Amino acid sequence: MKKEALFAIFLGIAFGGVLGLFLISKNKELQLNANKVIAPTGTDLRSPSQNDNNFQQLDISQPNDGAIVSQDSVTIKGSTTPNSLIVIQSPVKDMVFNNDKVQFQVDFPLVLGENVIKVTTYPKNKDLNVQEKAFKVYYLQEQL
Amino acid sequence: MKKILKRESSIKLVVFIVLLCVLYFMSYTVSFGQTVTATPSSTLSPSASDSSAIEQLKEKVANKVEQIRKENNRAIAGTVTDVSSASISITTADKTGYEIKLDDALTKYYQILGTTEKEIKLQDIKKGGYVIAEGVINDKTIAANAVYIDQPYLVDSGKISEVDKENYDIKVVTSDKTVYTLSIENYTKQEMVNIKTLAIERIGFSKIIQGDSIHFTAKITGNEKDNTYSVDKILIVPQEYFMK
Repeated sequence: MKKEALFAIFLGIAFGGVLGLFLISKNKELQLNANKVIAPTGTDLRSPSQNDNNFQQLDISQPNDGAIVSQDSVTIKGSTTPNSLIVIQSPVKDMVFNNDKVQFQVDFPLVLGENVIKVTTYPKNKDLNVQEKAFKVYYLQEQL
Repeated sequence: MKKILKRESSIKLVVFIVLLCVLYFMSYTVSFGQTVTATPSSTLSPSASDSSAIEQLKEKVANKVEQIRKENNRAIAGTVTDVSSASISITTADKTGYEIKLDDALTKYYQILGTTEKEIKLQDIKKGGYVIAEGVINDKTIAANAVYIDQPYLVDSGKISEVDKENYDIKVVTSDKTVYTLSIENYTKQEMVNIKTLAIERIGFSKIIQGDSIHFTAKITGNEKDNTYSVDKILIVPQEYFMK
């Protein structure tokens, strides 16, 4: 076979490949444009309560769930939506206070053994949901 | 002529490489010889500074071990499903099973009585009781340092959906749609949040209204039926607070 013929075959394969790739990509684009959009793309899909700029998920940073302590009180640190009524309850004590900031920190008494503590926040803005978190702290005197 | 010069330079290069190799091996054997001839007396009789360094190292290792043990030391509480001389099986509130491994020499047993704890024996721990195991947890096994008999509590909150003034019962729906019937007993501490001062004030049963938010605690006895609990204390957040 002549050199010219081989060159022509090679050029033909290369051109065919490029044309094929172009057609596939164009076809995909056409299909995407033809499809209907089911979900709105530009809008926020979160619930109305979470769309509030002040919304802050209730988070307890301290103590950890299942923490063992050797003192009869523990510092509870956390964050929530500002201007919330915070209720901290346990079998030994209930604590109610208004928190106008995001962060909160309180010292909370413990009894010997297991302490189930529940934190509930009632935001001032009625559109925002009530949030709650429960955790356990163990006040045990016999430790390593 | 050029060829001869090229051959000479290549011969020089080979000789140079061979010399480098010889020098390298010589230095290696000398250093090897030095390590072999080192006097063993210096390692066998440590000086005072060496022994203090060893002591420091021992202390550091001990501290590290202690720290790791403390970090791994955790507590798990649950209802006893089985007791033997070597282990106690428990089921936690979320229905997970754990095996508490007991050590005759290490594990201690206590009963929590209010603000004090009393040392007890393994035989005092019965099936159906509630215990806290403290120790190193490995997956679903706890190598227990101590086991405590304790009282489990229900601590929850919700909205009052019904007030039964005849039977002194309150129906409560929690955020996860659990429905509780709370029985108000003579000993139940009934309190309400003052919406102006946020102070907690004592109230009577007549002040409790459907729609109020309620926070409650009750002892879990294990004999409860239909989610009915005799509550120790309740705290009401009146609905008027949210209308301010």
